Amino acid sequence: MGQGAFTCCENRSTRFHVRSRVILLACLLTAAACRSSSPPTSTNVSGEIVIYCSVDEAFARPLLREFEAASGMTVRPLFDTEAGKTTGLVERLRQERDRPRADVWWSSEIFGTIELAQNGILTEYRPKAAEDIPKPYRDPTGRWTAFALRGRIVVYDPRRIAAADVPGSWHDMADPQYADRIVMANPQFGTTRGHMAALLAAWGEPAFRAYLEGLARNGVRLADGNAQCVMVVTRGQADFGWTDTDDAYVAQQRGDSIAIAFAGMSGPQGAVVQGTLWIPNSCGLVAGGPNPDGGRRLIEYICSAGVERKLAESESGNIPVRESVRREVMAARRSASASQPADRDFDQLLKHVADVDYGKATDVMRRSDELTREILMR
Amino acid sequence: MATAVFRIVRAAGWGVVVVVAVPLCIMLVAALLHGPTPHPANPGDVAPSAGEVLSLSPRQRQIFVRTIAIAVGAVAGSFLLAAPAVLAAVNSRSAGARSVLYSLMAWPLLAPPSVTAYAWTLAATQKGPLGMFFQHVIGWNRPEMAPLVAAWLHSVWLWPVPALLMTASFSTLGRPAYRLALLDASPRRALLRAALPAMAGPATAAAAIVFMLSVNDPTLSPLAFVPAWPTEMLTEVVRASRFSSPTAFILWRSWPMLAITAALGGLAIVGLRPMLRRSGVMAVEELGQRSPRARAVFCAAVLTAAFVSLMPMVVFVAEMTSGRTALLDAVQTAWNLYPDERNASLIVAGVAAGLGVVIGTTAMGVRHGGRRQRLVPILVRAFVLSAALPPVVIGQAFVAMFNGTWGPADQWRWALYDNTPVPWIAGVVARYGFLPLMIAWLARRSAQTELSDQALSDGANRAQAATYVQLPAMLRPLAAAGLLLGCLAMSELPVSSMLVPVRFGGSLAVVVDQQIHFGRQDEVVATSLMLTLPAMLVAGIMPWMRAKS
Repeated sequence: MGQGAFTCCENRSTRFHVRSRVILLACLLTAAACRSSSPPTSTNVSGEIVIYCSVDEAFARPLLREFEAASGMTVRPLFDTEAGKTTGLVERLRQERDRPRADVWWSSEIFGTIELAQNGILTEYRPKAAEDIPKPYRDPTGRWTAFALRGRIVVYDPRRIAAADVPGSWHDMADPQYADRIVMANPQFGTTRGHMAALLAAWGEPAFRAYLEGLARNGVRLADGNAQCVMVVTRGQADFGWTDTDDAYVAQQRGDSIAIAFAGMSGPQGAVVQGTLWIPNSCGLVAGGPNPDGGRRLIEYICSAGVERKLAESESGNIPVRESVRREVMAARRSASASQPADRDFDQLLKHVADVDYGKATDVMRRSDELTREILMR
Repeated sequence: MATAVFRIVRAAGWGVVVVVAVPLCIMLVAALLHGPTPHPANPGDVAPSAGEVLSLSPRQRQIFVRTIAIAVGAVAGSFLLAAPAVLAAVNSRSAGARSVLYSLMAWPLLAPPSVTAYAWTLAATQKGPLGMFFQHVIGWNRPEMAPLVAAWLHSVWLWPVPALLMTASFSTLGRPAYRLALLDASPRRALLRAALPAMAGPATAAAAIVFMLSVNDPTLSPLAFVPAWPTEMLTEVVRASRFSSPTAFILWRSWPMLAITAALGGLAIVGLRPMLRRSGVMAVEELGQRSPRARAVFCAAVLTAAFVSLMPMVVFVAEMTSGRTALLDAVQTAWNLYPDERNASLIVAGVAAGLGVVIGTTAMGVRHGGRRQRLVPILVRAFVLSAALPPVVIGQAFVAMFNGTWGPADQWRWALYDNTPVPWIAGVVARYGFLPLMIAWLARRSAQTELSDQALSDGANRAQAATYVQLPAMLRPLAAAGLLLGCLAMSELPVSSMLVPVRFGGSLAVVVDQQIHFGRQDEVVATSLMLTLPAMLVAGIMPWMRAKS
């Protein structure tokens, strides 16, 4: 009986405590729910800079650390998966446009950046550190700055394919002789997306449409990313892969049998464009970001000659857009080793740079997306 | 006091349902009612027609069919791999030997699938004899083999699901039928004609779960260079962001797979019901065979399981010793370069593990009749429905829920979205919450229900019976359920990549994905070891917990 009474009391006491906690929790939640819906604002944490970054984490992270050490500020980076490279973060910035979280946008390509600027998601900031960057790589309205180029190239396995058999231009890839031999990354994402838009801008819609139909007839395979294109070629599952220079360099350093070719941008009917597409890194200040001052400081650092030099010296091997940095890096390389691979020599590489208007390519990017989805990905 | 803690934990379990599954369902219903409309920031856009939203392009149809074919292959492959292990587990007399087998069974499910698959692809592309075998005998790198390779990668990840479920179902459903049949039939006929038909429901459930997990995984098929449906849906997320209700767009675009997975989710529940109805002891009792044939079966099963489960670790160790990998440097790089990701992923994994225990306790605490028992189907259906959703739909729904400018408490929701991993954890729990729920449900039978009923008839209330009778017997399965959810949270990719908070730290799974795709082998090996070693330890501990419970 005594035990029962004790249990009964214990039960009541326990129930009281549990109920009081539940009521307290409910009150807190109700108070939260009843708070007036004030206009959207961002969470401002002083000394913290949020950066959305589509540059490969292994390259970007040490540079951001260096900035943290020098400035005493904390950088909160957000990176993307390989499959959604750049595009995923661009879309995240769009979704957050009513209440931006990011202060800085640093992209491994430029087309998405120009699109963001056109949509009003980036705001004007002209970094002093970028004054020595050539004009074509600076937005006239100051919403983005570009630097550190990567090239769009064709990779092949020289053990299986002779250099003479490599298509001389991107347009040649639609030729039936290359049926079932080509792999490219999903053209809705990353640099391949910009590449398709640049081809559309250079050739016009009828020629581009015919080209896509040719590629579709040739059974072009779509990989999960540019690095995967290189792996497909390495494994002998395709003869030619569309990719970026940095992916090829990494494969070469890994010991893969991979050679690089520069396909020209020339179109079908006399639209001669020398060289291939080179895509710069780009960065800009996010409009309405929580820490604009911190964002400006970080942009000054990212656009500096020092960062461009480090990217050039890294595994990524970007070509600096500043001539002074190019000379500096080449001199350092020459002093380090006598032999300089031809596919890393900036002077040689610059011969393959096509004159592409990034803005015009961005203007047609949505149309290019529609056409690739309609024809190549149908 | 213990009863109060139990009540709080159980209330927290319902809180998890409220926070995760119910809002998700509401968001989805709202998305169904309001179709995609253009975002005000894109005034030039027009709302897509219903046909445009619902129809698939020929390429998407091809990817859809191929993804289903791979999932069917994964079901077949996982059952083939599981069969000898199940036979060995039910035939073994040694608890220690069974524990070794269970360790081997648990490991693939706990290790990150992309890491396991990467190890297989690494083995298949090596220049040594193993690589030659894969390339020239099996034809691993031939394009026409790619779907089979993808199915294999899914099988080696998911074979523990049928193995564990079939072993558990044999102890409750198969063994009684088998013993009855042995009265007038040979052991072989008893197994084939009596035990296996009795286990048809759980086998169907296992097949449904394998299928659901396979079609919703975006990491493995791309490693075999096969376009996968979940990856294709990522493209749709990009399109969806142009509309004011992206969840509606992505939900409607993913309808064919959603219909199949939802149906299979229902099938899994129906299939597991016979096991749930049966009371008895959870631990497997051996059949008592000591013939050389039984020993041979056991050895073959252990070897097969060891080959499949330990291959990734062997590959990584071989890479370490080959001299090609500067492992120490890579470990140092991985450790120093990604501390935010490491810490954030560990915190998320820890909280998810705790929530796994809480969900399991809630499922356990509703054992006895009354109002709460009628709520159990809601719990189960909510989690199975959320598990059936494509990951991008889950991610998109939580982005809309926490980041949207709708409804009350926007500042609170935004603060959670920016500064805490709450949306990330909610997404992971929505995707995998059904697993701890099912473990707890299946293990509930080990909680000595007769004693619990006796306690109730002696005057204890339901909470007391659950706390003092059921819970002590359930602690280890609940811990196992929590550890499983924690490990899965650590390696989850698609939802994590969409919901990682800006001011908290990133996801280690995203880092590994980048490194795998970039082909940075040294760091992949180092980061993979960081991710797989805890899983191996957990796999080593879990069977002992199971054996004792």
